[in-house]
Amino acid sequence: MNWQLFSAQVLAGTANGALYFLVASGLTLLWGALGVVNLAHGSFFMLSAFAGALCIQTWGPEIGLIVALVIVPLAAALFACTLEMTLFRPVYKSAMWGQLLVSFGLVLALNNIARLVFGTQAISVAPPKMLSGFVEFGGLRLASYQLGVLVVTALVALFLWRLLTRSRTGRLIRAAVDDPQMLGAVGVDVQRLRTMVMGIAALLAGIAGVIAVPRGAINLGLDVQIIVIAFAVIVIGGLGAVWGSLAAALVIGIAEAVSTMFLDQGGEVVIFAVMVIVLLFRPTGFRTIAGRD
Amino acid sequence: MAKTSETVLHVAGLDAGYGHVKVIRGGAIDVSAGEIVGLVGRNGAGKTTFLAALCGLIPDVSGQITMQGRELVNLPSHKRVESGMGIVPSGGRLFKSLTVEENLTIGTPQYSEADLAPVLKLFPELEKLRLRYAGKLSGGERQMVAIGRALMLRPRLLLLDEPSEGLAPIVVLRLVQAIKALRAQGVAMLVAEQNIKFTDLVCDSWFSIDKGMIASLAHRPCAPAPQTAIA
Repeated sequence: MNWQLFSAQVLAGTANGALYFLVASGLTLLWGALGVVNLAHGSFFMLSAFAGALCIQTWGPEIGLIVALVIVPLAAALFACTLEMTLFRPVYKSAMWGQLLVSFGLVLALNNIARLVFGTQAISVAPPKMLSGFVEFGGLRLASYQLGVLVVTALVALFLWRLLTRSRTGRLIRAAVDDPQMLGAVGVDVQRLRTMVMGIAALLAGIAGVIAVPRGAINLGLDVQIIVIAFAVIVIGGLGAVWGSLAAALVIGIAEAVSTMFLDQGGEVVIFAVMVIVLLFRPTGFRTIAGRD
Repeated sequence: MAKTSETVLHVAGLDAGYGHVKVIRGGAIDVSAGEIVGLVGRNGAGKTTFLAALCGLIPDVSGQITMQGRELVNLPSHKRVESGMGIVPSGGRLFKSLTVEENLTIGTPQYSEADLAPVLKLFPELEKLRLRYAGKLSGGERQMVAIGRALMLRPRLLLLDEPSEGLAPIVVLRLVQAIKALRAQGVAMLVAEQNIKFTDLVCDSWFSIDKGMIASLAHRPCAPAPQTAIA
């Protein structure tokens, strides 16, 4: 066993898991709390990654990344809110089919728009100098970019925790996870809450997209790749459970990265192997929504 | 003091159901200000569906629901709440992962201690439960929080679905007390119940519901003997 390699893989996996968490947490809230299944959530991630790459190409690796981290997630949130109000709203009445069809259509449309705007070539940009090296820690060499991803994710998780526990929006989201119908009957405008949660979810996906840019190879397959993983995370973590999805994302990320030490290819198989094993023991995932059938 | 002749809720020709299944046909009911109306019927008669249709909890509803001149049938739930309707659903339907206080104030963006005072005065029991999670309450406590949650929205009409269901007799009497106190404050109520002893104790007039059909009852649905026994 090569411990140097192992620890590097665990860190890489944790960083990947952090990205999965950022994408999946918004999706699990939107679905678990408000019953909206947005297949195009991964497209927000991909578009944000492209937009982030564009910022870096325009303003250079350091300033570009910082500018992207501020602008892109906000733009993604605004874009998602607009889509929610125009495309999703009319189809909520037709149960889940309407949402699935609309959001699947969006996946295709957004993918083709990205193809037209950014081209079919995968984009790689230079990572900022500060994040391209390694940090020596207790005899282990840790990639500073991956540590950076963890710091950003930790900050976002902290923000999410504050939002859910301290703010009124958070209280409404938690209530919606318990009983979304009843929220309207106590005077809450559920329609507006849906738009807000869609925006928050896209904000998180936008942050994930931007911090994924220095990994390189931003390509048109990212949208489907990340959404499939995000759904696996939701299934493992439990629907509507933000912290369940954090645990699930880290488990998946680490399992995937460590498996590359033993498997030459097919790391994604490991994700679903983990899912199967978890579901064998806990059919409803790590956490379940109390009283929900 | 509201005039007793003023109609708070007027329902006519109400059809409601789930998908292709119509549960309520041609439902009609009137509730006057400060009046407590009982809607009595057996299990499965359509009581819950009727109340859910009134407050917008189910989507397939047609007909007329008028509150103080405002037509509600096409409005979402929160708009109906704005026009003065409050619901206490069967079993309470509290938000389990929220505390009692969070449940009470869920519909009021800004609140102060003064807003909570009337509810805590009506149910002093809730004072020491404020920080407890709603999932850990007894049946009676749940019912009190559910009523309190609806009262926080200052309703003119309260819809109560099976308020006495599953409660110990002494808790039921506590509820009767609270309901009478609310009537004294001028809140009108529509109480759906299968426990006719309970409706006997609190209601001013009665409707019966059976297989989704609603009919007005001239007299209270049960003999006065058990009522005097309880009171």
